[in-house]
Amino acid sequence: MPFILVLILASGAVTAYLPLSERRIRDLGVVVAAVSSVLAVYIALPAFGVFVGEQSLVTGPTGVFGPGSLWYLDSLAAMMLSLIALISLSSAVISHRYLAHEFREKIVSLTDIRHYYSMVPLFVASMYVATLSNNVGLLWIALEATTLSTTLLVAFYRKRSAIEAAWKYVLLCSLGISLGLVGVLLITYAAGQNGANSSLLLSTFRDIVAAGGVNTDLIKWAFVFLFIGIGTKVGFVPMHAWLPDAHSKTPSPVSALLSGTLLNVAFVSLLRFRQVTDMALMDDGAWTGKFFLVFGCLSIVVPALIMVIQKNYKRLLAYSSIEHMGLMAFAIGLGPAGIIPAVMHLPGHALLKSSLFVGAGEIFLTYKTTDSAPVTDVWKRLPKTAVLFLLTLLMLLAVPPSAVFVSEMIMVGFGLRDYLLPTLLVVVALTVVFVAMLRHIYTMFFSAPTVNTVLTNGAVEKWNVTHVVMTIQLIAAAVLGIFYLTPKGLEIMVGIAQSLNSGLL
Amino acid sequence: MMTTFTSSEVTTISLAVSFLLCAFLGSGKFRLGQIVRYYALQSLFLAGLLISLAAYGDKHLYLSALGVIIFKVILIPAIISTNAKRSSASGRLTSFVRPAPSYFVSGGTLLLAVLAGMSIAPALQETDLILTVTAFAAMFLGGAMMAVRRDLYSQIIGFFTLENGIAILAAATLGAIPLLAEIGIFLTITIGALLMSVLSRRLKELYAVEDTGELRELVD
Repeated sequence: MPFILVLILASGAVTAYLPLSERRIRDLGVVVAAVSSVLAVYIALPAFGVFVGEQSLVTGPTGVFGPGSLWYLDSLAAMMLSLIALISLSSAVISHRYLAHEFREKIVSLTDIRHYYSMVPLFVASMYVATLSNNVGLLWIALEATTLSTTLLVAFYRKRSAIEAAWKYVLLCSLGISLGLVGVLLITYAAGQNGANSSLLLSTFRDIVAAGGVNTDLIKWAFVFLFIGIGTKVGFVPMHAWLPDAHSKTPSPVSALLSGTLLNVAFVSLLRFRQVTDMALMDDGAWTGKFFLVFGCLSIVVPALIMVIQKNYKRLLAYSSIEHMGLMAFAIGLGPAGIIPAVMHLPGHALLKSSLFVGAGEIFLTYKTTDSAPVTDVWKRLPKTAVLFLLTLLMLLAVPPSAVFVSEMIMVGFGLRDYLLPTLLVVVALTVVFVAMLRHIYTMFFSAPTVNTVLTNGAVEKWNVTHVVMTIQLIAAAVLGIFYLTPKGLEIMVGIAQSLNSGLL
Repeated sequence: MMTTFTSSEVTTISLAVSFLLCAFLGSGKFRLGQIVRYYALQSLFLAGLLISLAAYGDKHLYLSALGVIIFKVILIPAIISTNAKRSSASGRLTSFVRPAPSYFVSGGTLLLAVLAGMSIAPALQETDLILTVTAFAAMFLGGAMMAVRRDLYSQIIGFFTLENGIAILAAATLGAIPLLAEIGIFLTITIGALLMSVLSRRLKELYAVEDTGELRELVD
C-alpha cells in the first residue's frame, strides 16, 4: 500500500510535465493530493484501532506492516500520516488559487508551475516514506529527499535572497543529514555487534537493544550524531540558520507544509532513534533527556528574543516554528511522561502554523511583500483574512481552548514539578513570544495606511478557499484542545505516547 | 617487537593514505579544476579501498566500488565542472586564509580527526583503526574546507569530501549495505550535487555571486 501511495504522488509529479494548460496542471495537482490523502488516511485507519493499549504495532492481514517489514505503522505514524494528508490537501487546494493569482500577475511562468507541481508531490511522498519507514536506510534517504525536493521550491522566485536561502538550505540540511547518516551507521553497527542480524530495521534494533548487551558507548556516540544531524532538520538552535530563510522564501502553501509537517516528520524520526537509545541505556531516558532539555530551552529562548526585533512576518512565523519545536523538545526532556504533552503539541502546532502561513500568503498576494513595515491596515483591507489570522495566532499563543494551550499547560505543570528554573525560563520566553507576536501583528493589522503601502485594488475582500481552509483548521485545533481534556482524549494521547516510550509509561 | 602487516593490510593502509593525501592536497588548492580533479582522484582511491576490502571480505563491496566510480569519480565531477563552465565561473577560488595557512588548518584538522577517530575506535571493537581514523579525517577535512573556503564550489567539494569520509565509515563498520539503500544514497548524493551546482550557477549568472561572503541579504 505505501508503494501505491508513492506511485500516485510520483505520477502526479510526472503529469505536471504533460502538455496541459496551466489551469489543468493546477486541477491535476488537487486531484493527486486528494487521492493520495484519502489513501494515506486509509493506510492509517488500522492503527486507529490500537490507539489505546499496549500493542501499537499494526500487524495487518497482509503483513505489510508486520515485524521485519520495510514499513512500520503504529498509532504515532498513523497520526502523522493523517496530519500530512490533511495539510498536504489544504496546501494543494490553496496552491490552486495562489498560483493562479501569481500566473495572472505574471510573477510565475507555466514552466514554474510545472516545476512546482512536480516537486510538491515528491516532497509529500518523501514525508510519507519517512513516516512509515522501518528501514533506517530508507528513512535517511526519505529525509534527504525532503530537502532535495524542496530546494528548488525555496529558490522558486529566483530572487537573490531566494537563491541565497536555497543555498543555505540545501547545504546545511544535507550536511546535517550526512552527520545523521554517521549516527545511523553507528547505531546499526552497535545493534549488529553481538552477531545479531539488525537488517537496518528499527523494529529489530528495538528487539536487540531490549535483549541487552549492546555497546552503550557506541549507542551514545550514535545518538549524538543523530541528534545534531536530524536536529538540524528539525531546526533546533543553534543548527537553525537555514530555517527562517527557507520557510520565508517558499510560496506560502509550501511554507505551510514545511512548518506544519516537515519539522514534525524530522522530530518524530529523531524520537524513533531516541527510543532505541533509551532502551539500550536503560536509564528512563535521563541521558537523552538532557539533550532535549538543553536544546529545547535554547530553541525557545533564542527565537523569542529574535521575534522581538523581527521585521518580516513570514520570518516571524518561521521563528515561531523553531520555538514550538523547542517546546516539544523541552517536554521530551522533562522525562518519560513529557512525551504526552509533546505528542499533544504536535498536531496543534501543525494545524495552526500551516494555517498562519496560508493566511500570510493571502497578505502577501495583496501587499506583494513579506516585509512587515509596508503592510498596514490589514484589518480593513483584508477583514476576513485578518479575523482568521488573529484567531489562529491567539490559538497558537496558547489561548484556550487551543490544543496548544492544553499541551503547554501540561508541560509547564510537569516542568514546575521537576525542573523549576528551566521551566521558569521557558515561561518567561513564552511571555516574550506572546507580546512580540501580538505587537507585530497589531502594527500590521491596525496601523493606518502609509504612502508606501502597495494597493492592488480597492475591492472588498471576498470569502475564498484560503478562508475555508483556515476556518477548518482553526476549528480542528479548538476541538482537539477540548478533546484532550476528556478522559477518552487523554487516554488516546497516552496511547500514542506509548508507541514512543521505552516501556516506562 | 616488530609489527608485521599482511598484504591486505598494506594495501588498505596505502590506499587510505593515498585517499587522505588527495583530500589534504585538494584542501589547499585554489583552482576549481584542481580541486575537482583531486576530488575525483580521492574518490578513485575510495573505490580502490572498497575493492581491497571486498577482496578479503564482503563481496558486495565490489558493487559499492562500482557505484563510487560511476557517481563520484565520473558523474559528480562532471556535473560540477559542466555547471561551472556554463556559468563562466572564475577558476580562481576564494578563502578566508591563504594557501599556505590553509594547509596548516588542514593539518590541525587532521590531528583533531586522529584524536576523534582514536577516541571512538575502542567502541568500534572489530573495526580497523586505520579506516576509522581515515573516515573521521576525511569528514573533518571536508568540514574544515566548508568553513574556511568562501566560494560556492569549494563548499560543494568540501561537503562531498565529508561524504566520502562517511562512505569509508560505512564500509568499515557495516561492510556493504543493502543494494537498494546504496543506490538510493548514491542517487540522493548525485541529485544533491546537481542542485548545488544549479544554484551556484544561478547565483553566478543572475547576480554575479561566487563568494558566500556576499550572501548576506537574509539577516535578522
